[in-house]
Amino acid sequence: MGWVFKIFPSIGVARIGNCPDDSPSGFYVGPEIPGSVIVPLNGYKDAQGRVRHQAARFRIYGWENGVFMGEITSSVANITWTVELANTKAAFNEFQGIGRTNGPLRNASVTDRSSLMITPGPRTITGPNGAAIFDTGLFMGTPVPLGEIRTDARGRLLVLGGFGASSSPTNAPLTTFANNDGWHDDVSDGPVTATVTLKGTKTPVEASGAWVICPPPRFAPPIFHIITLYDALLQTAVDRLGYKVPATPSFTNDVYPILKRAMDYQWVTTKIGNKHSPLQDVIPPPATADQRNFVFQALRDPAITPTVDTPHLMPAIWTDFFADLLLIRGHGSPATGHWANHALTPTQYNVMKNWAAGNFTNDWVGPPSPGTNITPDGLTRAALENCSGGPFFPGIETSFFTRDVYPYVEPFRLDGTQLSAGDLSKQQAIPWQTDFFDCVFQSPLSWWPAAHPDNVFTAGSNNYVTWDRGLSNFSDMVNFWSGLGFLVQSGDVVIETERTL
Amino acid sequence: MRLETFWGKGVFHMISRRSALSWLGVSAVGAGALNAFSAFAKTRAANGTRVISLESFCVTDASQVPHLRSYMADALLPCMDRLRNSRRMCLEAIVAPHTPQTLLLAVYPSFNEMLEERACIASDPRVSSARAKIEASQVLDDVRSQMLVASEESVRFPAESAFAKSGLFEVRTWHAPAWCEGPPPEVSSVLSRIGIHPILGGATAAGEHLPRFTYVVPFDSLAARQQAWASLDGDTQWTEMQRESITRYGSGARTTAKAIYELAPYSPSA
Repeated sequence: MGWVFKIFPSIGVARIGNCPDDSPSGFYVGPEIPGSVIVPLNGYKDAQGRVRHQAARFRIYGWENGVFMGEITSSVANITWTVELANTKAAFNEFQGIGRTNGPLRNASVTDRSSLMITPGPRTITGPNGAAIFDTGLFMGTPVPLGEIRTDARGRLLVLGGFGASSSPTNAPLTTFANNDGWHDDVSDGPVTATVTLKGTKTPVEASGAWVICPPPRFAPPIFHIITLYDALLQTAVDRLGYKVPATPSFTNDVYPILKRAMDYQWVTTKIGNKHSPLQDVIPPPATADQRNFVFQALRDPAITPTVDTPHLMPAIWTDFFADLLLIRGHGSPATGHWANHALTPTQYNVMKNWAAGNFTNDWVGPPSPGTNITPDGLTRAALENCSGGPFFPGIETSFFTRDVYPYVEPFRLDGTQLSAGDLSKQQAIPWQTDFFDCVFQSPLSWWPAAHPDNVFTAGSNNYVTWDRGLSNFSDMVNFWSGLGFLVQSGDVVIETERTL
Repeated sequence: MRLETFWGKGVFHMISRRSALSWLGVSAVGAGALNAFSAFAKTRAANGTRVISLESFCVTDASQVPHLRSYMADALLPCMDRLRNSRRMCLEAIVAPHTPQTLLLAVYPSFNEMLEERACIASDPRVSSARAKIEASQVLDDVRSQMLVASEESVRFPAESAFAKSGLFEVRTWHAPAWCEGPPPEVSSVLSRIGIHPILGGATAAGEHLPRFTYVVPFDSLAARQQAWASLDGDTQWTEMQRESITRYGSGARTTAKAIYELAPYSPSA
């Protein structure tokens, strides 16, 4: 059997930034430990108010004859990394809603489809302290840099994404939230592969490959989505790969995070008020059966058809099937009572159901600490739990294709042989700023307030303010996105900082 | 586990889970734990056997390695030298489930002498001061202990003159149901025949999945290591021993853990 090498995280996230400083102090590495929040010592922005890149760091782990050996670095192996980034949004179909994958092409009048695809091709680095730039991609003849890769002193891979530069070579207007012909942005994604040659040996071994997504910045790092991409892809693993989750949930590891995320939404939307106080009442466990049931009964059952109204159920975020809802009866409002919200994943829902029934492990000793230990699975979880797992309309980091369509070779590891660079971002809005502008609270539900906060607190004020205040249209978001503030934990509260608008 | 938990409120939890054997936790060991351990020591450390402690210092990240090196080289090892002239070796992990990591191996004539030395170390002001510094800097993520009992002849360092020149050291643990009375003599002859020459081999004194045996094996290179283990897997005598073990016990000698180290620059014999 010999050695088996795998790259972790299996899906990494390198967020774009318009700070051009790619020295080690110019960017920061994203979370590598589940539950951890990265606050760069020198801020999320540079002195000019430009957003720093959040790099994705990839590592190789080895198993020998089935025994886990640990991380493989350049001290014991020659490692050759290859990464390909691409942005193929403009050549893909228009986004028209989940399940509507046969919509008309974006830029349908452009016959040279390759001119719409920013495809600089793969880059390869061997050994430590290397670097390569994705600077040869073109959109309608205009160069669009997508970022760079480098290796650190131990031979680990760092990926830095694009610069947040979106534009239209044809000066086309921005008219829709998702499909703007003539426009490009510089988010991207693609495969990460590596060959490992242990020192003293001659045979290179191909590591099990990973994928990198280079999406927009995460402006609210302490606030986690109710349904993270980790939750969504865990469900994919359960449904498609037969992955087994524990029959009895842990309060600390399974229940508490869901409660905590819901409570933390108070920092990014005004809509909660005291409605989430029953969540406080069930911590610490066990609470009473009535208290637990009260919380559970507030949740939408994921078995309910997604377009069916479930007024007053949680979580209060729009469904993936917003377009269908729109076609059925126009989107909802408190007056009409039409609000089909997005349910927890079936696995999350079962966790809450078991907990409500008293079938859970009471392992509570207080809020869990993220710890300091970096593990292979932890790298993947840390990357994915900072991304949205829904609603995918079309989503912020990646689309429903990643959850529902693309093949996996093991939980959370895509089958790279059946995918192309750009596939994970091609269904996202073009440019990303238009959807990001649009996905604010849309009565009576929110979209993704952990990605685009609706309302926030500023230092020294007890009153909510609109997070994207000052930006009034798509163009404003394209031009001034980097002026938006970042949210940070400050004692017991979460406040906006580094706003430069 | 974070260090403040290890040294703080969680110390007794760690002690019960890790047999009260850590350098860093020894000062807080309860009397009951020590008594139980001493009784165990008397029954196991007979004449001609040696007790080997393996302490794994798991460092939080690479930037903290110099702090641990300083603690080891300037405080802990000098203190141990003052207390006793015994065999020790420090290894730094290059491939291990947790890196960075430093492994301290120390050989004792008996459990009691090990405990006495640890008590002296715990009360040494220089060690205490140095320990306080690495505690304040959160240098360590975890400290893990393992105790081995070995025969004198299976402890071959530093007498094995060539070992210090070896490029790397593998620490490999086997769970071997057939070796409940210790590894049969054939094991040594097979290993020796194919070029595997452990400088240490001992039985784990306590814990799960017993009987368990841990070997420290020097190799010139990764390639030499790979070739040696491949030769073992292909050795007919070894294969036959495995087959017999499976027939009688349901399992052969199974590798449960392995990690690769190099000699720390401050190690005795380095």
